[in-house]
Amino acid sequence: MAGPSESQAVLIIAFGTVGMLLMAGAIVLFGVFYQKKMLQGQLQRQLLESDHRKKMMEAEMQSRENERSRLSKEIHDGVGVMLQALQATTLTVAKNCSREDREELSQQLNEITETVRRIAYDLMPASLEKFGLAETLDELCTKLNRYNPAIHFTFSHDGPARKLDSRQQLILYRMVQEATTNAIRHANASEVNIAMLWAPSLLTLRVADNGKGFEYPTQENKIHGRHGLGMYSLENRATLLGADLKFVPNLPTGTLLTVHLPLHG
Amino acid sequence: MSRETFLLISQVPGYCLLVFMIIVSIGWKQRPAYIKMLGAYGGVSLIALILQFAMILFFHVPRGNNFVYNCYSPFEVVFLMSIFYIVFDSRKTKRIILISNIIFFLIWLAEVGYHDFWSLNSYARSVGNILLIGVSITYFYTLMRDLPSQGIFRLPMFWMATGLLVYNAGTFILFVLLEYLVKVLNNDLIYYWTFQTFLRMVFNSFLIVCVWQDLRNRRQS
Repeated sequence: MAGPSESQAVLIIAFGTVGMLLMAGAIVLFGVFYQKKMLQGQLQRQLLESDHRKKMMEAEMQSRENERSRLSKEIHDGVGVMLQALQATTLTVAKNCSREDREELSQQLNEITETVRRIAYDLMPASLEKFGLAETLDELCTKLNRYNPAIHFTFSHDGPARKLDSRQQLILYRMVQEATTNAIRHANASEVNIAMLWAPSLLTLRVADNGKGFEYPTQENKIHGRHGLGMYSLENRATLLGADLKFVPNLPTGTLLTVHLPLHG
Repeated sequence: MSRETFLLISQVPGYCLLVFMIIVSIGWKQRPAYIKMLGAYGGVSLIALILQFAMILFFHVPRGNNFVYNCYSPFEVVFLMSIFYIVFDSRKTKRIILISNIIFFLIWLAEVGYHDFWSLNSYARSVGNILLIGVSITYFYTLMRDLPSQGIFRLPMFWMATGLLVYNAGTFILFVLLEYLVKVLNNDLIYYWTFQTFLRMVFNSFLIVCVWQDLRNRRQS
């Protein structure tokens, strides 16, 4: 039978030990929940920041596209029409000139009109809204073949086509424009293939060239801003679309750009 | 509880240490310095435990296990504190750990000098408990301050600090009142030592999780 001193000692030890263990448990649990809560907060802040950045990019792109559209219309409907009138007037005025001079004048005026139309088209292709992305990319290929005889551009599309909204179409078109410009300017390619592949819930857009390729941006280069503006623009557009962008070597030589756009609904 | 049952239960932390030693030896060369130190600590702890049993079962030296414990006790505190010395970045904290180690060692020397190596000297050990609780809490504080992006459960040191905190908080009162208990209970401490053994088993299990987590992180990276 335990005496008073013994039971006192047992009680002290029991309460003291339980108290100490509870304190230890509380410290550990507090540490765990605090870290969890803070990390959740951090994640939420990052999401908000990313959302804000996306909205800013979207607004910037929208304003740039609006400006391009306005300029395209002004050039097409204003300068284009004026050039046609100028062509008619000049040819009437130049009746007294020799036939060769008139033909040269007419040819020069035709070239100016064509260049102006091309600039208007590059700024905002009217066919995009009217006929859709596939037709416009086909048209783009025809034009690129005409203006860059050293490079052969081809376009193909496969699978059941789905309707894309005008924003998606425009962003994808600009991405292809950027990729073909890169192929023309930097890749030294002789073949560029553009392909649209439709799957029930995914659109894959591929731009492949047989050029010299380029140094693929590493994470380190991205952090230190050592990748080109073209790449940056492509990445931004892919982010705005919610698409996945990939660059891989197009073996044996060249570059293959792939955009995977998930299709909803 | 019979003496045989108690001796049987006392072996369990030893088995945990054995498992710990096996896991810590996997990929030893690639392990960080603090895990290597923890491995060395495990090895010495296992040897001390075996010696304690040997003193009781084979050599029949009266209070021989106390002698082993008195030799092992300062090693344990100083070694575990040194692991935190490696882990912490702050120079101020490192200096505090160093000073605490010296103070603890002096207290241990004084206690051993006052009593002897064959008595159960527990006051220095209580100071050791406070110091180890202190460094564990400091570790949790740095975790909350620095907020590592990695999940808290993936950090090997989290498991070690948790084990240390639980073991030292649970045994603190026992060590403080040990001398009093010896007098009041006439040296019948079998239930209290069983409880201490249980907490030691919990601590060793946390150490196993600690080294296993380090191995897992290393394999995934």
